[in-house]
Amino acid sequence: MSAAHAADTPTYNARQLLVPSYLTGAILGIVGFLIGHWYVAQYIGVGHDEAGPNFTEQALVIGYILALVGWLIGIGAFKYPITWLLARREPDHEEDLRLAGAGQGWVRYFRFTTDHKVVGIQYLVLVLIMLGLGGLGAFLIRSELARPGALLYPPNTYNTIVTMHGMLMILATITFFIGPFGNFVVPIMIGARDMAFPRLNALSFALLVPAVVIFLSIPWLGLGQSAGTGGGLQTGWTFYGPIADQTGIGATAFAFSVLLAGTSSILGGINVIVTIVTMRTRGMRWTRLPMTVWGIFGSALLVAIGTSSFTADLFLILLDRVWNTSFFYVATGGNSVGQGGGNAWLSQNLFWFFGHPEVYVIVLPAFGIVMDLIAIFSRKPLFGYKTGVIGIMGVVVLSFLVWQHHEFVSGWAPELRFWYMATTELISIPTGLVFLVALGTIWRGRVWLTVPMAFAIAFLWNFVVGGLTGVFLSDVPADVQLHGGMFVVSHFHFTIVGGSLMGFFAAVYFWFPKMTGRMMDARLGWIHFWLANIGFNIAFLAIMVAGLQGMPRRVADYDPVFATPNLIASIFAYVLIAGVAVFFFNVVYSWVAGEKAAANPWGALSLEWQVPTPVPLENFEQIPVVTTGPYDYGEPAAATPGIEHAAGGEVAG
Amino acid sequence: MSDAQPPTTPPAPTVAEARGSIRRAVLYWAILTVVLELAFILLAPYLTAWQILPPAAGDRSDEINTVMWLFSVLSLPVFAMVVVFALYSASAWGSRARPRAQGPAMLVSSRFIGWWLAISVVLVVFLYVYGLAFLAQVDARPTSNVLRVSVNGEQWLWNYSYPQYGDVGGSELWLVVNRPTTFTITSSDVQHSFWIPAFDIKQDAVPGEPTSISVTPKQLGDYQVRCAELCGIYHSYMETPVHVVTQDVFDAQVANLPPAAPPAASSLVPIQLATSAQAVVPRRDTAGLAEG
Amino acid sequence: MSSFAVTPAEGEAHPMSQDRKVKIGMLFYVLADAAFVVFLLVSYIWERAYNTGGGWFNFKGMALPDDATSNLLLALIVLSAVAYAVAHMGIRAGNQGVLRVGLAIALVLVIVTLVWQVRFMGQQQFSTQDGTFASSWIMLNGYHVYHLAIGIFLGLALTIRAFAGKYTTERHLGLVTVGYFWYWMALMPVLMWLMMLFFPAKL
Ligand code: HEA
Ligand code: HEA
Ligand code: CUA
Ligand SMILES: [Cu+2]
Repeated sequence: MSAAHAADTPTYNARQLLVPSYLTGAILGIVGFLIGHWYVAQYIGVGHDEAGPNFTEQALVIGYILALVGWLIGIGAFKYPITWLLARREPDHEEDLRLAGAGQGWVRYFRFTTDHKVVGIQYLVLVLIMLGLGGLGAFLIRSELARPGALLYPPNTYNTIVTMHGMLMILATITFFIGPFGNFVVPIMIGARDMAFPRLNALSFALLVPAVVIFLSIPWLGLGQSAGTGGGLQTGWTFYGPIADQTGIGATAFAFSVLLAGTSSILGGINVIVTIVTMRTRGMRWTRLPMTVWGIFGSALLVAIGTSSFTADLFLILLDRVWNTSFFYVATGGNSVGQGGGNAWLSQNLFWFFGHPEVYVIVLPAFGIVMDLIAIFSRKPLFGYKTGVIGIMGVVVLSFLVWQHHEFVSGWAPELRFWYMATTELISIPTGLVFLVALGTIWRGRVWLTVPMAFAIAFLWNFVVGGLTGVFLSDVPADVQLHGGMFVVSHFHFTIVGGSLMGFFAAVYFWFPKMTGRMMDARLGWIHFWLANIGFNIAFLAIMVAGLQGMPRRVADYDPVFATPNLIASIFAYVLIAGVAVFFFNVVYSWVAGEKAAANPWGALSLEWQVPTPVPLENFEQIPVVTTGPYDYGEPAAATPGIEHAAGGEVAG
Repeated sequence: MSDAQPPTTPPAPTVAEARGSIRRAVLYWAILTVVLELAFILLAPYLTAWQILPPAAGDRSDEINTVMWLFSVLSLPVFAMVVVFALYSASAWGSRARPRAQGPAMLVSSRFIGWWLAISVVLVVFLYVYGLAFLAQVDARPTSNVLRVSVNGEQWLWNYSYPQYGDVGGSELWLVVNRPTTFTITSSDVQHSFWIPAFDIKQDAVPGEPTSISVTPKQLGDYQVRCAELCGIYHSYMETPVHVVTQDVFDAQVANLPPAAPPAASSLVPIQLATSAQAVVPRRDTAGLAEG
Repeated sequence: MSSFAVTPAEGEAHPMSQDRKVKIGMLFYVLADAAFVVFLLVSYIWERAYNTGGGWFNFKGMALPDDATSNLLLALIVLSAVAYAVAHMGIRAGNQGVLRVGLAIALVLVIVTLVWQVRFMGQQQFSTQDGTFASSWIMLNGYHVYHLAIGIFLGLALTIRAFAGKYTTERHLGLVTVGYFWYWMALMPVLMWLMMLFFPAKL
C-alpha cells in the first residue's frame, strides 16, 4: 500500500455514510412504489371500462417505475447528471476518490460506489445469491420430477419454478463473468486505473439490484388467484408472445425486471467494450491481451448488440398486457376488446435473435478463462494465440446468423432451414479452434493440478458433450424429433453447467485470492469438484436418455415410462447440488477465515497479479508499460515463473 | 511463499519421451474410441426394445434413427479425443505441487491448424449434406391417396377433424396404417406443438397461422400425441392417444364420429377469465393436483 | 524475467485520450438504442406482413393519422437537428452567440415537437386496442416521445452550459457527443416516416 494515499484518506461520520446509500435508496424506492401503485389504483383505475387498459397491471408498472426513480434518487445516482445539467463545478479528483469509496470501510459496498473493484465484489456477491436461488429452483424441479405424478405442487407452481429457474440462472450467468471479473480483473489486466465510465459502471450494478428484487417478488404476485385460474408464470424463460400475454400478473413483474436487467447488462457491456478499446496501457497491444480479456470482450459485444432485441420483445409484451395493444394477440374480432392481427412468430424471432447470441455471452468468457488458466497452470505459452482469438471472434460473428435453429419446427420460414442448419454447424469450427488451443497448451505442460485447473480441465470434457449434442440438434430431421424435449435440456445444461459454470468455478477459485486477499480452501475445493462433476455428468446423461425416450420439457408430471432416468437424474442432481453447497460454504468460510494470500500465489504473468493484494484504490502507483505478453512461459524464453514486481510491491515466486 | 511443498515435480520430459507420449496418447484414444464405438454399435439395435428410443412406427422413424446413429458414431471419436488428451496430460505431467520448471514453448504450426481445420470442415460438410438429404424427406408432401386431418390445439387438448369425411371429428386421432397423412395444424389460443414421438414428427400449432406436416404410419397400434410447447397450466397433461388402424376399422370409426365443432373463433381469453370448464380433466391420477 | 516495466516519466500519460473514450462510449450507446429502434421498426413491418385475420386496422369509421401533421412534426425535428448543427459550427468558428442561439432554438423546437406530438397522439380516434396498426403507430410514436424527453434533458444541459460559457473552440466535447444522440433523435422519425410511406395503413 502506498503511504501517500493513506495520508489523505478522508473520514466520515455515520450520517455521511448513510445518506446517500443503498439504505436510503431502498426506503425511497419502497415509498415510490407505494405512491405509484396507490395513485393509479385509487385515482386512474377507478370505474374503468372493462375493455380498456388493464389498471391492475398499470398500477404495478407505474409503481415499479417510481420505485426505480426513488431508488436512484436515494442512492444518489442523479447527483452528477444534475450538477452537469446546471453547469456546476466539475467534480475534482478528491470528490472522485470519495465516490470511489476511499476511507469508507465496508459501507462502500452498500453505496453507489464507482471503484471498479468494489463494483466487482458487489457483482460477485449478487451473482452468487442469484446462482443459489436459481439452484434452489433446480432443487425443487428435480424433487418434483423424481417420480411421476404431480408430487409436490400443482403444475402451475411447477411452471413458475421452471420459468424462474431458467431466467434467474440466465441472468446470473450473463452477469457472472462480465460483472465480477469484467469489473474487478479486466481493468487491472489491461493496466487501467478504473473502468472507462465509473459512474455508468456503478449505475449498471444499481439497476441490477432492483431487477433482482422485482424478479423475486414474482411468486407472491397473483397469489390470491387459485391454481385453476392462473397465478404464477406459465411461460418458460422464452416468454413467447401469446402465452405471456395471457398468463398471470407475475408476467408483468417478469417483463419489467428483465427489461431492467437487460438495460443494466447493455450499459455494463458498453462500459467493458470501451474500457478494453481505449484504456489499455502503453504497450498493451491487442496481441498482448490475456485470453480472458478477449473472451469478455466478445461477450460484451454480443450483449451490447443482441440484448436490444429481447428488450424490444419484452417492451411489446408489456404494452400488450398493460395497454391491450395487439402485437401478439391473434384474436380475430371475436372477443370483447376488438384487438387482433398480432403474430406469434414475431415474439419468437425477437427472442431468439437475442437468445442465441446470449448463450455465447455465457460461454465465451469461459473459453477465454479456460485457455488462460491452462496456459498458466501448464507453465506454457498458449499453443496458438491468434488461433484462440480467431476462435472467439468467429463465434461472435457466426452467433448472429443461427437463431432460427430454435424455430425449426415453428412453421416460420421452413424454406430457410437449410441455411440456418449450415451456419449452426459451422459454429463448431471456431469452437473447435478453442479446443485445439486448450489441448495443445496442456500437452507436455508442467501441469499444476490446483482446484481452478481441475475445473478448467473439467470444462473441456463437459463442454464437448454439450457441443456435440448441439450438433445433433442442429440437424433438422433430428431436431424435429428432439425439439421441446429433455434432450434439449440435457444439451444446454452440458454447455452451461458443464461449460460456463465450471469456468465460473475455475475463475472464482483462481481470482478469489486477488479479490478478497485470501485463498479458497483447497480441500473443500476438491470435494466440491468431485461431487459436482460426478453428480452433474450422471444426472444430465440420465436426462439425455429421458429426452431420447420422448419426454417433453417443462412438464410437472410425466408418463411412467420415463421414471427410471428421472429418478437417477434427481438423485445425482442432489449430489451436484450438495457439491455446489460445499462451494458456497467454501466461499463464505475462506472469505472469513481462509489462509492469507500472497500477491501472486499462482505465479501468473498477467498484470493483475503484479499489483499488491489487497489492490490499492487506484490499482497502480504508476501506470505500467507493458513490454511482454502474458504467456511468456516456456523453457527457452523465461527462466522462472517468478515475477519481480515493477514498482516495489511484494516479490512473488 | 505459501507453497513450501517438497520438490516432487517430475523432471521435464525429453524429446524422445515426448514422442513416446504422443504415441501412447494416440493409442489410448484409438482404444477408447473403439471401445465406445463397439459398445454403441452393438447396443444400438436394442435401444428401441429397451424403450430408450420410442417405437419406430412412422415411415421416417428409421431414417431419423439412422441420422442419430451416424451422428453418434462420428461424435464418439471427437469426445474421446478431448477426454484422452486432457486427462493424459493431467495424469502424465500433472502434480499437486507447484512446478519449479516450465513447459516447453510449443506453438502450433500453420500446417497443423490446416489439418485440424480440414478435418473439421470435412466432418461438418459430411454431416450437413447427410442432414440435407433427409431434410428433403421431412418436407416432402404425399400426393396420392392422402388422408387429410385438420388439427386444432386448444388449452389443453387436441381437436381433430377429417375434411374428406364431411368434417367429422373428435379429440382422439384415428389414422390408417400405410396411408399417407397430411396434418394441417393451427391453434385457437396460444402456441402448442403437435408431437407424435413414435412417428418422429413435430410441428408447432400457431394461432392464426396454419402449418402442416406429413407422415405415413407403418405399424398398427396405439401411440401418444404430446404437446411439446409450454402452453399453460396443464401443458403436462396435453397428451392424447393416436390409434393406427386398418382402413376398414377406420371407416367404421369415422362413420360414428359426430360432426366436429367448428373451430372456435381465435381468441385469447386472459387466463383469469377462463372458466374452469376449459381445464381438461387430466388423463392420469391427479391426486396431487387437487389441492393448490 | 519481468513482463512489465514502469517508466516513471511517462507514468500518467495514457495513450488514449479521454475524448476518444467518451466519444466511443456515446457512439455505442446510440448504436444500442438504434438497435432497439430497429427491432421496433421490424416489428411494425412484421405485423404488416404477417397480420393475422385482417386485424391490421379496424376501421370503425375512424380516420387514419393526419399526414400533414405527421410531415410537420418531422420537419420540426429535422429543423432542430439543423439548428444543432449550426450551433456546433458556430462554436467551431469561435462564435459563442451562434452557439447559444442555435442551441436554444434546437431545444425549443424539440419542446414544441414533444408537446405537439403528444397532443397529436391524443387526438387520434383509435386507441391501442384497435388492431396492430394502431398498436404499432402508438408504440413507435410513444418511443419517439421518450427520445424527445431525453433530448430535452440533454438540450437543456447544453444550453445552460453554453450560456455559462463552458464551451470553447478547443473544448466542446459535450456538444460533439450529445450531437450523436441529437442527430439520431432526428433520424429515427425519418425512418418511421419512411416506414409509414412504404408500409402504409391502407393499401
Ligand atoms: C452456453 C450455452 C450454449 C452453447 C455454447 C451452445 C452451443 C450450441 N448449441 Fe445450443 N442451446 C443452448 C445453449 C448453448 N448452446 C440453450 C440454452 C438452448 C435451449 C434454449 C431453450 O429452448 O430453452 C440451446 C438449444 C439449441 C438448439 C435448439 C434445440 C431445440 O430447441 O430444438 C440447437 C439446434 O441447433 C442448438 C445447437 C447448438 C450448437 C450447434 C452449438 C455449438 O456452438 C456447439 C459447438 C461445439 C462443439 C461441436 C464441440 C467442440 C468442437 C470440437 C471438439 C471440434 C470438432 C467437432 C466437430 C467438427 C463437430 N442449441
Ligand atoms: C443458465 C444457467 C443454468 C444453470 C446453471 C442451471 C442449473 C441446473 N438446472 Fe437448469 N435450466 C436452465 C438454465 C440453467 N440451469 C434453463 C434456461 C432452463 C429452461 C427453463 C425453461 O424451460 O423455461 C432450465 C431447466 C431445467 C430443467 C428442466 C425443467 C423442465 O423442462 O421441466 C431441469 C431439470 O432437471 C434443470 C435442472 C438443473 C440442475 C439440476 C442444475 C444444477 O446445475 C444446479 C446446481 C446448483 C446450484 C448452482 C446452487 C446450489 C444451491 C444451494 C446449495 C443453496 C444455497 C442457497 C443460497 C446461497 C441461497 N434445469
Ligand atoms: Cu399445448 Cu403444451
Ligand atoms: Cu441457439
